[in-house]
Amino acid sequence: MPEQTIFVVDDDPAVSRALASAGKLLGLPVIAFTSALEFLRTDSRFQPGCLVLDIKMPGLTGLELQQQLVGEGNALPIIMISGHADVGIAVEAMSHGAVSLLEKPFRLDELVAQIRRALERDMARRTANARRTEIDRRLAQVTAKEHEVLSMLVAGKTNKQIATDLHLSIRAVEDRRARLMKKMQVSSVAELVLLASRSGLIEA
Amino acid sequence: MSTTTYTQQEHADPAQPVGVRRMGGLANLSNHGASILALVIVAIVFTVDLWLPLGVASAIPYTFAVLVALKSRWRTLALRVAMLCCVLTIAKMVFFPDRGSTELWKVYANRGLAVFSIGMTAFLGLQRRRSEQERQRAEEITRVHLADLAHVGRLKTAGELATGLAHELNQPLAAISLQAEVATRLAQPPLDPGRDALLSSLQEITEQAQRAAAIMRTLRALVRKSEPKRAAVSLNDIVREVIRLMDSQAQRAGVVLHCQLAAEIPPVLGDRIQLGQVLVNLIQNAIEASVEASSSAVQIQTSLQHKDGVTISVCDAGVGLTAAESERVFERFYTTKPAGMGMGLAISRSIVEAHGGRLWAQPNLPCGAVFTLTLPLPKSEAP
Repeated sequence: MPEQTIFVVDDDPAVSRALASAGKLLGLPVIAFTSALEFLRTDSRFQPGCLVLDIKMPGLTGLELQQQLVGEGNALPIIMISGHADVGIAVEAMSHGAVSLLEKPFRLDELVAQIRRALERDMARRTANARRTEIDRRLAQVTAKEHEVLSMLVAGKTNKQIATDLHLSIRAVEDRRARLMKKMQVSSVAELVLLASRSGLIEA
Repeated sequence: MSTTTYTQQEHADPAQPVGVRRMGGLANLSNHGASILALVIVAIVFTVDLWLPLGVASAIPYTFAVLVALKSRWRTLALRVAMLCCVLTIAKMVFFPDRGSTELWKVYANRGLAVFSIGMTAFLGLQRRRSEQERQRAEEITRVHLADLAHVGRLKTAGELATGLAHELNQPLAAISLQAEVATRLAQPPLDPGRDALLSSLQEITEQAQRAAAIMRTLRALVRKSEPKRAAVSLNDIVREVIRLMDSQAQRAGVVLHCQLAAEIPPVLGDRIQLGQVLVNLIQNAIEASVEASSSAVQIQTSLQHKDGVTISVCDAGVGLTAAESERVFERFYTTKPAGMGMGLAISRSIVEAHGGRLWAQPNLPCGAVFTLTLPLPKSEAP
């Protein structure tokens, strides 16, 4: 897993510098941007890490940047910071999936806790994504006929039932099942069902 | 982060009352100087008068002594000198009645005219001085009223700006608080690897505390009731200072303040707080007008005009003004805003006029309004 970075977007350089000092204390790299547009010009939003985002900025505001990221389907965890958090802003930020909203001036412990939480969330999200990609890769090798058998297996049918439904011999079904399990790199039907549920093939 | 300091020019002399300034040489006499000079003139005139026969109008120069005595601030000095002169005029006639070939009635007429001249000089001089003093007092009262009004206006403005300033203050506080905690962690042993980081955090704390203090100074300057001070001020500095103050308010309203400052602009003579107040007022109006018309830009420009001196214009594309309104907005208690008092622009115009300048409004094309204020250059700077 590549190293995680704390991205900071705040138009106030003093606040950015303070956040950078805090990041350094955690031993994590910090990259600061003075505007949302500057942040969007780089590929930082696709990197592992989290975003500490000031709400009130000239040009594109923090909330607008958040909405844009959500619109792009980018799930980089965001910690919002604000000078005067009124309830409306807080609700809007949280409803769009912000990790939390810190009101300036905030405590180091609070910040660190939220950054840790955000980074854990990022890590979990990336691990899940990677796993999902792997499953998809394996699924791509499965032929249509094997796929038929797979959906029936996860639906809980026995070999015999499948053979009857597909007008095949039990032997043929067993063959397909064996090939399927090899391609999916699993050793039991239980594992196969688990992968299928992760890939969204069935509702777990 | 620009912490502007302006201490340099704050000790320029306050404006002198106009009445005293114009008289030059004699006007600079102290009270003692005036009385001594008056007595010396009395002595000389008396000596000469004694030596000359009664036929000569040698008592008339006593009027000069009275004129000199009038320059003193002691009210009674001119009166006393005049009485002394009259007594000496008569005394010469009584005790040294040598009149040569002159007829007696001519001597009486001569002395009588002298006494009359002395008396009239004293009377008219005192009269004039009284009206002068009344005018000065009236000017003083106007000045104090304007200062009071300006102060009330500033208090109102400060109230409106308080939210923005509070936010502005929050930034350095956030930085300070975080850096201080980082420094605390870094200061715990083992210290060595964190030394540089610790020092930089501490330095940052100092800088941000200074920045917070500068914000407080701005607020205090706005609220403080101060004697208007005339000093050389740069309009560009005032614009920058005010923009710093109003930026967050503009941002909240979704308005961007565009600044176009003349590269080289000579300083004008003025009170920086009052001029700043005028500008705050104009920009605030422009922001409000813009919000109402969903426009998002306000232009602030400074420029050097060939003859008129220097100007600041505040330009918006907001709801705008009709030609008739553009003069009425400066009237007291005239307002187009639901919660307005109608004092802001009236006060602003009084302030600008007290600086010898002009403030006016025009419709902007295609929509909105332009407020322009012109201030004269100090005499030595005029082209």
